[in-house]
Amino acid sequence: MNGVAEKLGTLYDYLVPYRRRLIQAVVLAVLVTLIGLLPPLVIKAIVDHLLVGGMTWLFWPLVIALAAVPVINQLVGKAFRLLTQNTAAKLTFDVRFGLYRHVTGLPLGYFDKHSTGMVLERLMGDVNKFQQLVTGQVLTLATDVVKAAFSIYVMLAINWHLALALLGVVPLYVLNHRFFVRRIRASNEKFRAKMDDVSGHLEERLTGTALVKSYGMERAETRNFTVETHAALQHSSRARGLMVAFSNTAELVHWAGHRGIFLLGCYLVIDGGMSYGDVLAFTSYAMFLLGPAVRFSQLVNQIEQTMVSVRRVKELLGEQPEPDRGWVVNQPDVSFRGRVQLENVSFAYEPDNPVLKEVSLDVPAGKTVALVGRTGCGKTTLTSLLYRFYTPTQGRILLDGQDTAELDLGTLRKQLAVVPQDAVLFEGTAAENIAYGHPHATREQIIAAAKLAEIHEVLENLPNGYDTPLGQAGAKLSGGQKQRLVIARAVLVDPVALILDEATSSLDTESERLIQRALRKVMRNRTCFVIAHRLSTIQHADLIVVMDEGHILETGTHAELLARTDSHYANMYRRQFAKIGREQEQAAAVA
Amino acid sequence: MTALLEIYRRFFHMYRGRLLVAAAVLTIVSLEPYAWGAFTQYLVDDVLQIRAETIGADVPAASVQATALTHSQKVHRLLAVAGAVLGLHLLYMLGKWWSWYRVAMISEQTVFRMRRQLFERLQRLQMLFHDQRETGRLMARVIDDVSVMQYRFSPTLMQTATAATSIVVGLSLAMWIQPVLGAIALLTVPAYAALMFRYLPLLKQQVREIRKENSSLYGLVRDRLAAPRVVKSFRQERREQLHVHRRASSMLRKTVRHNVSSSWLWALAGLIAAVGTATAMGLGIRMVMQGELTPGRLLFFHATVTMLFMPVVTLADIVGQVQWLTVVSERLCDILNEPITIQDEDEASLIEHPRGAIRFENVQLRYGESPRQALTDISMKIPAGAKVCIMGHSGAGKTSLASLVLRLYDPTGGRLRIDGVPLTQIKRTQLRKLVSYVPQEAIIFGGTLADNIAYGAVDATEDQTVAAAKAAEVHEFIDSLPARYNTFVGERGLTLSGGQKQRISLARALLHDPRILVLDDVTSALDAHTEARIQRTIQFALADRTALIITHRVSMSARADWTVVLDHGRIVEQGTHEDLLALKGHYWTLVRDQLSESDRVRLSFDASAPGS
Repeated sequence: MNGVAEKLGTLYDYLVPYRRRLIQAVVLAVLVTLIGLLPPLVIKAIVDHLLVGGMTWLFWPLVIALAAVPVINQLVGKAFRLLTQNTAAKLTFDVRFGLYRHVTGLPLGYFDKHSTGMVLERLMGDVNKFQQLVTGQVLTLATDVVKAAFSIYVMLAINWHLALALLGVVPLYVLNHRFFVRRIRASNEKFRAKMDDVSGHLEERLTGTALVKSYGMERAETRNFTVETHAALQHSSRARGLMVAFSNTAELVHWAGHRGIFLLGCYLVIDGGMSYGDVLAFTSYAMFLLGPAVRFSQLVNQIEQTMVSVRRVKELLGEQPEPDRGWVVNQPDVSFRGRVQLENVSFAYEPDNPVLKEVSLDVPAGKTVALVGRTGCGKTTLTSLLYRFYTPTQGRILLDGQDTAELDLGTLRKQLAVVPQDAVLFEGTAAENIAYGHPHATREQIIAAAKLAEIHEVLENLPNGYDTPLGQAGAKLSGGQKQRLVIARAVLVDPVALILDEATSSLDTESERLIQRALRKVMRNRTCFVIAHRLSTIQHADLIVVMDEGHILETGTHAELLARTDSHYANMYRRQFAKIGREQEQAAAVA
Repeated sequence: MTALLEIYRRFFHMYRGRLLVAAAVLTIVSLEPYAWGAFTQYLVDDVLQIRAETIGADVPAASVQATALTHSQKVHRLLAVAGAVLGLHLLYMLGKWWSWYRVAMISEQTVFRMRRQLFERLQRLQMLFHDQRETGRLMARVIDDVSVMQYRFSPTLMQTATAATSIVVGLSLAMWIQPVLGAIALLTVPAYAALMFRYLPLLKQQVREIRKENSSLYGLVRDRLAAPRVVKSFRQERREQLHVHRRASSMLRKTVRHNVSSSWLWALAGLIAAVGTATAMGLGIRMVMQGELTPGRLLFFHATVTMLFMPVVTLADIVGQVQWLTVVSERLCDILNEPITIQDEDEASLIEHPRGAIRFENVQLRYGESPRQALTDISMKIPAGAKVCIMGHSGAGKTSLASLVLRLYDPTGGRLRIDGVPLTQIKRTQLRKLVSYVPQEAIIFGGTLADNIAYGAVDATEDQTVAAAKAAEVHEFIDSLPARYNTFVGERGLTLSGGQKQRISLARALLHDPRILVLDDVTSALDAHTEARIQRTIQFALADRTALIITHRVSMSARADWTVVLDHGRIVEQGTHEDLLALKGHYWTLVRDQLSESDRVRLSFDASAPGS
């Protein structure tokens, strides 16, 4: 048991509450198997003792046994099935939910490195496999062993010559299995790989339908698709053909073995070595033995595969959750004002590749800081550190003089809100989406936030107003509308500090103007971090921080930085200005 | 059901001969187990000559036997039976293998044809169809639904035939062996069947619900896992856990309920089968003991009855299968029967020497059932070689207008002409060479860069590809890559930046040397530096082509020959840049909105850096 516990690792803990149920299941399984083994003995008794032997007093006991054995078997079987299936369902629930809880507690860095699909696969697919291992494969193995042992015992007792003859059939099974299984698996793998290509191709073309059409490539695409599916067809035909051949030869061996043993038994009856009832019973038991014999190698394979899943789940459970060592919890009477200080902060995602190098910054409460610099210079990383999505490798970040590492994560994050470049909406109504960070908000609060974010009118005009479902299956909002909804979501939590990460860069001018207007209202009285490419959007910032390769190059107000003609900011500014310069000429005409 | 018939007609009818033969062979060979029962009777009564002890004084008819056989006679008969049994079994297996193999191959062929037809249909279906559907759902039909057909359709057909025959033959056989015993079987089997037919589909329904629950849980979890930043920044981990807990609990409840009902079903079914069999056997044994039945015949009966219950389960199962197949068939027929509204008319022809003049004549456009008109009363003439900008707020109908030129949609009223020929009468193959489109979001397919640039121009030479890349100013970048034009891009290849994608998209459009180029706001998603470069590229690319340029940038419209301002699907203003400015209308506001910002920029810049 220790070995098992070791192999399953933390997963073993999930089994502990079910230990008693699992033991019960094993007992029931053995019981079901044993009862299931009785009918051949009843038939044998009917033929040998009742009919041929003339022991008429056996009539009622045997007829009752004929009815009772299957009935009892069904009832015990029902209990067994119910017990195992329900245990399986509950176990899956426990493990899946436990795993999910664990995953939600993992640091952001984990999600950066691992794809959603992979985590999802472990949560949904691998957890099922684990459940199958415990309540399916292991139990099957146990009952098979009982079946085989009992069958061998009875067969040896009836006629050991015939039992030895039976052993001659077993290698045929193994040979058949050996011959086919590997080939089938190879073809299937090729088929799967091809199908991956096919569905990848399909998805690409369906997403790019407009492009396909605008280049008139419908026919050519169909041809390409035909070629690919045809290649898949070759592999799947081969796999299917092999599978049909495999199951049929297996059946041939199985039943030909059955008939052969039976006829051989009949010969022994003629010779007087066996009774006919013995032959009937013997043949039935031979089938009981052959089934598990075939299953055994498959089962071992399956268990091996399942262990891969178990390892994957275990690995995920072994990931360290987000460090939350903060002990300073929010007191109702203490309110944050929003001064943010960075003291010599360095950070690296990978050890040799620092993203931030000794950054120091002091932002007074209620001021707006603009972070400027090329893509990859560390702006977004800096704001992520505020959230403690990642832990700085060096230095401290202070909120109102309090080291954020000492703050409870919940308390810290409650003070912050972010409006990212890509607005993420969840399935749910518009109101639910706005109230995401503040589930107990009243409708009035939600509407007030929406008004502030200039999205109220849009939402009101949806078919069901604020209760219209959004997200994949729901109403479609434009990019600008989504962005404003996300702003409303951020406002509703009434953060002390607000982070705008390229909040407007992917929008057209009209939407951008609306959002700018919304933002101006929202930013009032809050410490704000603004990341933007378009310098025109940040010139009113109280402080502009120019970053490059993880360093702060220069800080100052718009006017201060421009006053220094050699400043990086002035250079960047001139470059952008050159672009709009031509537009500028047209402005004269307007003015 | 009609959908099922249609799928049959479309994909399986052509194989009906082969399917029929396979079904016939399978049905005949599936009776082999009954034959085996008959053999055992012969073995017991006439070879082994097992005699039952009879009670009762009179000599019963059934016990009248031929004289006892000698040992060697018995062995000879046994050998004969063995030969017959094994021979028959081999035949049975051959027949079974042959028919299943045929059926499997037919399914494979069919699946291939289904996928191809679906794909072709999807490719040919108008944009309107695609707009209204999610890619994922369409994918599910082509991949998953077809797989269901692959694994279920023909097997269901076969199983129905064999199971039905099996039951009829089995029951008749039981009646023939011994009418009284047969009658008992005749009673049990319907009871068993009724139970199965009543509850098995119900269980299937439960399973389907659990699956649905499962996929909803899957969706929820995927949604949240994909956005950890949002969940974390709003500290909603606990609540998300609660959500998942709730949904997973509901699934657990349904699963437990299903387990309970299914365990009851099987227990009850076992009960009926056991009691029925035992009653019949009890009577049978009594008959044997009274000499009215030979032991062999009783065993034959027993074998027959045991066999009977299997096909009943299969048949009841098929009821559920058929429902499922019907649903899937409907989904497939949905696509296959969706009318293609945009295709070449019979009188479609080629324009000789196309020049690229476009005319909109009172064009109206409404998308499907949408309550709103996307374009209203659009009339304009664009001479060959003109550069026309289309401006307006988002949702004003700019992209709709451009899509019409590509004939991605047909106008609901009015018409378009190119070089005087109505668009509907130009062969689509020519139209697509005539007009090239650069979408707002560049789409790059998995493949090499060369493949992507030469998309739609299968016979393009390498020189042409390079020339197009040069014209789109992307050649230098490609040339700097180790594998150059053979570099793989897309899902498993090199990741391109937005600007690079956009330029490749432009190269793709230029390769066709189109008379008309449609640019859909190609620069808006790019950063300032890249935007400036692309704008320059575009200037070169447009030389002597007709161009429709959707843009927000005044810098573009100022250089265009003509600008059209759209609002709520109508043309509100058109004219040259200067004309429009003079109007002080929509265009003027658009320009002012855009410039007021840079104006301020300009002023502050001038103030602080007077030298420049």
